[in-house]
Amino acid sequence: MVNLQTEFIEFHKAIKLSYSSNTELCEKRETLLKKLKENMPDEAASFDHFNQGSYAMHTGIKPNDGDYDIDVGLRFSINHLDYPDPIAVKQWVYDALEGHTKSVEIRRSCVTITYQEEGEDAYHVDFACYADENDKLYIAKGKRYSEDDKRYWELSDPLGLIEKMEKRFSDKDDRAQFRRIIRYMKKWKNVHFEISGNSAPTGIAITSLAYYMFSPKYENNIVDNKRVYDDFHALKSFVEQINSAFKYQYNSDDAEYYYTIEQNLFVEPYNDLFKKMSMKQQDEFHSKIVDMISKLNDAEKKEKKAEACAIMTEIFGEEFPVKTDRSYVGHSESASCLKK
Amino acid sequence: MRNLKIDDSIMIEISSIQSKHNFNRETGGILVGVYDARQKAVRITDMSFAYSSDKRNRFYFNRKSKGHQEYIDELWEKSAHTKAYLGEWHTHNQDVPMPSLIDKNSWRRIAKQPNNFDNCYFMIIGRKCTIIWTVENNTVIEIERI
Repeated sequence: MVNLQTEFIEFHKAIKLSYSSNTELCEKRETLLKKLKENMPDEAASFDHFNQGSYAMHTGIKPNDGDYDIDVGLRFSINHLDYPDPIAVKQWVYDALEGHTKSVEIRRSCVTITYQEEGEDAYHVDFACYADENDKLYIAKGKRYSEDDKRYWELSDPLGLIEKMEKRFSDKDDRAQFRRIIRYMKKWKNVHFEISGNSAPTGIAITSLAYYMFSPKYENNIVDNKRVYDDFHALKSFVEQINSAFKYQYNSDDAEYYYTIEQNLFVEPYNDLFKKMSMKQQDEFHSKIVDMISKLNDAEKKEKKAEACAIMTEIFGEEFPVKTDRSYVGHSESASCLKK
Repeated sequence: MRNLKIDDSIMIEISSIQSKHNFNRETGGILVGVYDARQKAVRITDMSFAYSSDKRNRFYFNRKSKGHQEYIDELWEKSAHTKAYLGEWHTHNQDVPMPSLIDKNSWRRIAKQPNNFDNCYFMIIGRKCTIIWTVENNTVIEIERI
């Protein structure tokens, strides 16, 4: 097949979310943290903060809808048993920030602050609140009017998540390919699934699949013995692994068979990250994976770079560049009729 | 077969040729374009015009490489290596142009060259009508009338 590594790297540059180039978002985060410190209610416990989510794991991509987000963890020095209602802790954050922007909202796993630009959501900062007990973190779950059983503290390990991602591959180039493949899959997801609802696998589900199933692919250049990374085959082999993780299962509710998948998070709370997707949604995820494999097989057979790239745009959208080789125009003969 | 799209600027050139060109002497050049992922189509974006080294007559147009090669090279560089040679165009002094055997043989030969895309496109601009053909399995097929 044709070598698409240069095209993959250019595609990666186009989709990668780089916070250093998004200073506005970093400034917003700093402003909010300052506000938090200044306006925390008197009864609030002391806290410190850390970055979490795809930003901290270096696996973020630019959002489809222009709604940039940043995830911040707030570690409160409290024992969760002293706060039977976790909303009380989220309320401190809410009270400190209320009025700062048009929208402060207590959501299930965080307090979300939304900045608007010309009436559209443009940025949001998610503050996850934790009880910090001897380095064990419990996340505050639930909304203000949630039923009692939906408000709880859950053992969680956001820092272990970041650390395990960092240590998954000791070689920095292997790690870079690992992160690229996760970004490609997130982009694929954004192109092929509805953003709202549970129809799409989450970013953390993709990340966890990659944590267990991805393996680096490269060849050693015989001239200088340097590694030449092969993102196409790393991706293909990862997607084939995902495909083989599906099970064909009977659903008694509608008497249908579905392809379903499970994947636990690799740190506390070790929950199944596909649980929120219905069996039908998991089956649709499977169909899309099968379709992607078939397209990757088609691309592999192409002998022309532009034709292989054209197939890649069907997988990843128009940000995947369709590059051509230098054209040789030769000569041509034309005649409307033959005259001696 | 993949869809073919034609930029408005090319459509304007075609009507300008039809209204201003003296059909007593054939002219022509190459067609250049890109793959447009949004439209899932190859899109004609540029066309070159005859250079002095090309041989032109009332009944034939022989395009040389000179000039046209430099033309595509510059477009390729400026487009971050996305524009490519897509095929040929020339004029016929006919209302509705028909390709001659020489045209068809030339197209079949060009279609077999190691081009960037699977299909090449061949356009003849007549006095009233412009037609585009491609070559599939060595057969010349009309695909569009403008």
